[in-house]
Amino acid sequence: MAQFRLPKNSKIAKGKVFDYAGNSKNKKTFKVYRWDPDSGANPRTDSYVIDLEKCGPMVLDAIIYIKNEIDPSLTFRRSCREGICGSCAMNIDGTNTLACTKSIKSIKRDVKIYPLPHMQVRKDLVPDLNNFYEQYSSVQPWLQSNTPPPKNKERLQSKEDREKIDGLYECILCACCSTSCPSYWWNSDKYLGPATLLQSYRWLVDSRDEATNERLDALEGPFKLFRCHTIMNCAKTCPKGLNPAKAIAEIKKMMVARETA
Amino acid sequence: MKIFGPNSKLSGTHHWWWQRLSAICLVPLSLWFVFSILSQLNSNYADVIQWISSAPVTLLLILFFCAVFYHAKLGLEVIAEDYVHNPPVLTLIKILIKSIVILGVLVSVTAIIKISFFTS
Repeated sequence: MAQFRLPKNSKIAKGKVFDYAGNSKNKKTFKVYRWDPDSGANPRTDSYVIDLEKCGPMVLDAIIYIKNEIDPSLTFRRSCREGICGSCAMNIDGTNTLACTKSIKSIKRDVKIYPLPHMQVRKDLVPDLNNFYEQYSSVQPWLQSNTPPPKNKERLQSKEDREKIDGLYECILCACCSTSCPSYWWNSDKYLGPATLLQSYRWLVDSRDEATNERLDALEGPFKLFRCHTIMNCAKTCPKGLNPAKAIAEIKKMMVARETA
Repeated sequence: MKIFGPNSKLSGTHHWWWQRLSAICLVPLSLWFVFSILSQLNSNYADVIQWISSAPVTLLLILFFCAVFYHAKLGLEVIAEDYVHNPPVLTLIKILIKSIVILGVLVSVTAIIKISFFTS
């Protein structure tokens, strides 16, 4: 059966408090999930009270400040710090988002930071994304065409055809949507999840791609595509403002149209 | 149409599409069923028998029960696939769902036909 409670060794304990804000009037508490695979201990949430005057405006600025100035053992992924690499996806204030584009000011309470939900944790805020990337590669996310490209030219698209991949090509594969999806939580081994399906649709609607039938064949069956029950968490949480649920609905329509034609 | 073919049974598309079709059919059928039952509340036994025996009512009742049980079967299967992760147990539960649904259809349709044609 699906697991509704955390296993014993995943129960979160209260952690340490690091108060580094002094007498600052502009302070904020960050409650951060910590788990060290080497210690064997249960995970805990450590509290860091920091002076917001000393760090930048985004949540990522705060955790970089914590790592640099307070606790170098705090582990997380980050790279571009401008919402284009997708590395710093984590659960902040109850919502999956990118730490680099989430402003501290937008959070009224203490800032609670957890790794992406329902993924195996490697350490602290770093989830294991191997299965996620394998699912992405399983939809063969590249142009497949039997028509040879025009000589010394790229394959051109009409303006209208190009517009069809707007709202799809912007996906940065941060995994916020897939890890917010209850269907993905229960069946991540079999259901591809919103991110992978949005990427699949990106190639299904591409006017230059000729593998539409093979792509749809590969999504057939009760699990890969049809575990989506239009819960819509994916669209709500996407830090890039995309709508994976709509892309999935379009794929379902393509499947039915193909079968009934 | 491939969707009605014998090989479409395992297809997720087939399952999803028929869940929607049966849901759409059930919107008018359920409204009709609820309002009809409410309108029969003050009737006596003979009146109800007569009501069920009229051809359109017999037909609609059979349609309603078939649609309800078919839709229930599809929905319960989805729930089982969501939450039951042990393959043999899942197969067992699906067989159970199918058996209960077939029993439900048989009992309700037999009852309607019996009342409609063999009761006076």
